[in-house]
Amino acid sequence: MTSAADTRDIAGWLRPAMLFQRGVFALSQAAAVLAALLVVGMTLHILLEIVLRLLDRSTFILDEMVGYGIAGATFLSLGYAFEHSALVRVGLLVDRLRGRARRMVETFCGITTLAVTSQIAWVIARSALRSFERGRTSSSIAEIPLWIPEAVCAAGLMIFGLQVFAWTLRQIFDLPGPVAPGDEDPLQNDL
Amino acid sequence: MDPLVSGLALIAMLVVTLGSGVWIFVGLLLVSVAGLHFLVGMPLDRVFTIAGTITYRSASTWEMAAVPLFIWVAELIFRSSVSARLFRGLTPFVDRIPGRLLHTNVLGCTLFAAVSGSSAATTATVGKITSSELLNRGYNQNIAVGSLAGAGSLGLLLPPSIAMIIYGILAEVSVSRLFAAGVLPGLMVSGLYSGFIMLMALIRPGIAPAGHQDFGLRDYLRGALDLLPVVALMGIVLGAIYSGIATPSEAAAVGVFAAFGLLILLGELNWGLIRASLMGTVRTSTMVCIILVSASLLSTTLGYLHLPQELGAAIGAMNLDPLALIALLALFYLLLGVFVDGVAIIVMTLPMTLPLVTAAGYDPVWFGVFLVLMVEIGLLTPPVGINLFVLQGLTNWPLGRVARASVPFFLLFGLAVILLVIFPQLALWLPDQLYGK
Amino acid sequence: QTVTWDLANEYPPNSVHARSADTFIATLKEVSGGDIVVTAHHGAALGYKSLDQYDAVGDGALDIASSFATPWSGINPVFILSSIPFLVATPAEERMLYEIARPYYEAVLADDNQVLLFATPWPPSGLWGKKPLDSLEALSGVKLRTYDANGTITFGNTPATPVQLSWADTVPQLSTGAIDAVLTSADGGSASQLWEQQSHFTEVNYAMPLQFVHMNRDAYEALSDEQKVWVAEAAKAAEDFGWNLLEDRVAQNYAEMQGHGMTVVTGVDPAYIAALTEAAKPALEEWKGKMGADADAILSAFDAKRAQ
Ligand code: NA
Ligand code: NA
Repeated sequence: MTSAADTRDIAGWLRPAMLFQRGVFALSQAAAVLAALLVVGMTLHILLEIVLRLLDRSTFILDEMVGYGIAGATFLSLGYAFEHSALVRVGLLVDRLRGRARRMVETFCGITTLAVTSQIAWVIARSALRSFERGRTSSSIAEIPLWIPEAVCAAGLMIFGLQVFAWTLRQIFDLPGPVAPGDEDPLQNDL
Repeated sequence: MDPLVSGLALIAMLVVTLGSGVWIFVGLLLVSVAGLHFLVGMPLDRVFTIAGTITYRSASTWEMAAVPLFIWVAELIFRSSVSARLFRGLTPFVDRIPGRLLHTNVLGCTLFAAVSGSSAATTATVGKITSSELLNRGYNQNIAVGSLAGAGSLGLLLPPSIAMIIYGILAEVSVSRLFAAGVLPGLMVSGLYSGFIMLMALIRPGIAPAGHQDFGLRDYLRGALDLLPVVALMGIVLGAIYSGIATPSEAAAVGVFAAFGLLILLGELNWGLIRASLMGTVRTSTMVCIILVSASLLSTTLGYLHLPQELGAAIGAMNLDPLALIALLALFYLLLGVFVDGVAIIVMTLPMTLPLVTAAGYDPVWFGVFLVLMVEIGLLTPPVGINLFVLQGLTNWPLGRVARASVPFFLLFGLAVILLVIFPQLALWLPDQLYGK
Repeated sequence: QTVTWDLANEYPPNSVHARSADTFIATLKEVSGGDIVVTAHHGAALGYKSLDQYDAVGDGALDIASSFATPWSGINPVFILSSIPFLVATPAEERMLYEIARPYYEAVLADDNQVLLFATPWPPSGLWGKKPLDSLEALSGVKLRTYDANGTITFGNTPATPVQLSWADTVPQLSTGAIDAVLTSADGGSASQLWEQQSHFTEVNYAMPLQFVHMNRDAYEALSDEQKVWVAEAAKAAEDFGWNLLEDRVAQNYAEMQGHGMTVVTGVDPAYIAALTEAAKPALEEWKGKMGADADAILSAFDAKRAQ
């Protein structure tokens, strides 16, 4: 999806637009780092539970915490994965188009994505707000406030939405993106 | 609405939306939303309440955590010398086998299936490690990728398996029996795959680069030494499961632990590697997990459409003889697998199909194996085929090319189903030996 | 046919609550002459867990659901009541307590835009194990899988070690011997063929938590008076079916378990039950603290009724 031309260094009137693009991507990156920390946290919690079980003890909340962790990690890394073209799509149509036609189809895809995911983000955010207002907790011994994981997931989806919005603007105005395209082989693509 | 019409409408919508180039998970969400709104006739605010609830619920399932954790193991192996050692080590051993290193995918997935209960995790993990190596070494790319798509779904058939556990709970069948019943059919599928690769290599030697060395004892010993890290890793994870130290769902974390230990021993652990492996993990795993999450909304939509109920009832009303019934059910699951993937198929259809099958005299344990095989086939059928999506993400190929490469392996799965129907003992012999009749 | 609803239930098609829901559906179809048709989705086929079903029904995503009350503990403490260990000893007492608490349940559900149709109990939980678990000494060193916070509190106060595991991991962990025993009903254990790993079931009647069948208030209010009568009739029939099912089901389960070579240990020493009840005291006290004055009202009404 990204091509070499996307990385040309731009100056002049594009500067504020690029600041916005870089800012949004920085937000996606920060969320992805948080997601990575959640993956580390899940691993450590499972290992802790295994050790505790050998000592006849338990944290009693493993499946609950890992459930929140996987949901958070998935939603928080969406924007980052999106900007890295890691989210798969069927290229049947888009890969055959160039220039203006391509950008029109991409704009359509971006707007469609925003329409669906923003509604879902809104429903989850509303649920987080309700859990917060009513002081709802989980039924486990730890009584985790339910609004926390819900809010994290809603935030992840909103960051994704912002990233898609920034990307769609680039399609409309034919702007370059903030991410250097990786190696041809996505497996080697590090950053 | 007639279930057949609404089913066809959904397939048409899937083809159009996915074909337009929208991201696959968005396409699945979009078709679900449209299905609930236009086919079920729900107002949009109700539709999105359902969508929000189901996506949040299915994203927070504890079983899905195996996906990022196993992908992390793969990232650590892939970015260290361990994967190069694996291929170097295997080379002398497979030199005389037609197809040579092409067998690593089948072998790798079969072994990995024994520690992982999820097929998405199996495909992504083994694919991450093997695909770039195989693609760079001059092996036939279609067979390399197709065999990954096929063998990757063995994670469900070989124990431990999330699909078997869910089936066991719903059908009230012993999970231990189901685990045992999956072993021989699973090995049969990997045998069919290896046999197919050998046959192809004999017919068209060009699919694998020629073996050109004379390997001596030293080479075999060095090869064994190179294989040691991966063997040790597998041994630790398997040992943790079968000694009871870790549950099958916890195995992935043990894998991460063992991989770190291995990299420390090899002197290859550093911050750069940890950082790169983690960022690679979140990219790949969010791609896999968000598709699983969206696919579960699509299966919820089918539920609200009453599609499985009505088709199941229609099949039941036909009063078929046992063989015709199982043939029709195979067709039914093949069709359903086109747009639903994974355990969702089992959950949504079992209440309708299990009574039919047991009334026809089939053993529920046998039917569990049959059903899991059908679920695995569904992972390979476009437009919704998780294994295809995972490989598309790993290879950057168009979906159509991944799907075409998988066709022979899809057909071999079909052959496995036919063999299972003709020889039910393939599934039932081992559990009967272990647990009595 | 004027009304069609979907009913979600997390538990398998053959479980007691699926049977009760099916009874509700069949009765409703019959008394309404096919005017109200409900489609059941058992085994979480629609993708909802009991916890999600609370808001899903209130928000109208679902018309009706059959939900396990314990996961709702963090929504409102009143839902903890039926899972407090050793508060009731028999199904008759459980029903007494339910009748007393029903207005409280209804009030909480009404606040969240839903109507309580009926509730039925889970079969009483007991101790599956490799030996009789009929004394505190027998519990010593036993790793026991419990299913909720109250179980963790209660058995943490005994010589046993409570372990938290998902149900899917429970059988594999029993097979490898990583855990020794499971707190669940005769029915739940039989459905998972626990006799393959366990040899004894000790009846302690730990708790009989409730399963609620609740429906969206807007969908309910949209009904005509005649239709509401039909729904009430069907709910009554299903509720009676569910409570009566309990005793038959326990006897059936015991016979089946014995058929698979298990020993069912009944009539344990009352002193043992008293000790377990003592161990569960903190769970009761914690609930009273969360619930406030309503707890005393419910419990004193229950004590008075039981004394009659
Ligand atoms: Na497996
Ligand atoms: Na499919």
